Amino acid sequence: MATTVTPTILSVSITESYILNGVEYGGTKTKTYTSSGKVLQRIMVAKTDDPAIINFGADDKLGQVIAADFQYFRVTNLDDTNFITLTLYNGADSFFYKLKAGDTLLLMDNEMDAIASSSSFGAFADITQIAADANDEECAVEFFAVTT
Amino acid sequence: MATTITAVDLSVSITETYSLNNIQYGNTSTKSFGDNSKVEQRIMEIPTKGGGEGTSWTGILDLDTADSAGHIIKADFKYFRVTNLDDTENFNLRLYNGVDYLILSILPSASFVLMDASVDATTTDIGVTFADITKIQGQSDSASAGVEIEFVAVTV
Repeated sequence: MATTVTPTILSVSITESYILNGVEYGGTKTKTYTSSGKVLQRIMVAKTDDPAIINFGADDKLGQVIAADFQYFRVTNLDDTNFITLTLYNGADSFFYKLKAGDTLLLMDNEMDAIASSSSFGAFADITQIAADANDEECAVEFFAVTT
Repeated sequence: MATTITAVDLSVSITETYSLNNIQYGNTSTKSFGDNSKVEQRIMEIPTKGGGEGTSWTGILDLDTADSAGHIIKADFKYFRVTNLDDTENFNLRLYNGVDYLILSILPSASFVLMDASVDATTTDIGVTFADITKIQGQSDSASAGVEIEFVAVTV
């Protein structure tokens, strides 16, 4: 038995269009990932009870992808009014980010460290869970995760 | 005396192109930020981390109450993007909100985007208290080789 899935290339481009005082700023930055063989793309509802939207662990299973195979993650708040508190958790530390209506957060690596009230670096650790807590009313979110 | 700058919109699109097993995945996410009249865009060198991640952080941008050298107005923040221009070394990005720090690893050619400046961090399971980022800093993850980065910051 062998897989019939052939890993392919994921290309991610960030394009800024901004002309101020006759000068063009911003640009296009593209990163290419090779050998990308697995994907999880979903639109779901984030409620106000801080639900996990994806877990990163040792195996592919219900709501979880393999942390060691991480390549790319993007989450977009599809609500037109309310913000979401996004939590990135690495097993020890949590980082919270306000994802306003229509905003996107992308991750091109899964290593992070968060330190409260100290400048001392702890240690990088892989993100193990991403949760989305709707601030006021439930919000639709889209996320896209690609692994090798 | 009046400014001759006309505020304009910034449009940011993130486009993923990915076909697996003959199915198209990914999307294009576009966000428009209205009425911006200031910008800072720069390519700069970021030195090595020297003795380790705990030392040798280089200031990239401060978010403050007035425009000055290396400072933009925090309350006017709209958008920030940083890209690691090195082809080999990782770049460590540190965000500071006056209380908490977040450190992220940015791989070669990878980018990180902020569409809002409100963040919080904790090592314990307590409530969230957002505060605006006040400092964005970086270091090469290498102990011997620096990296070049590009950043763009847009404010009202």
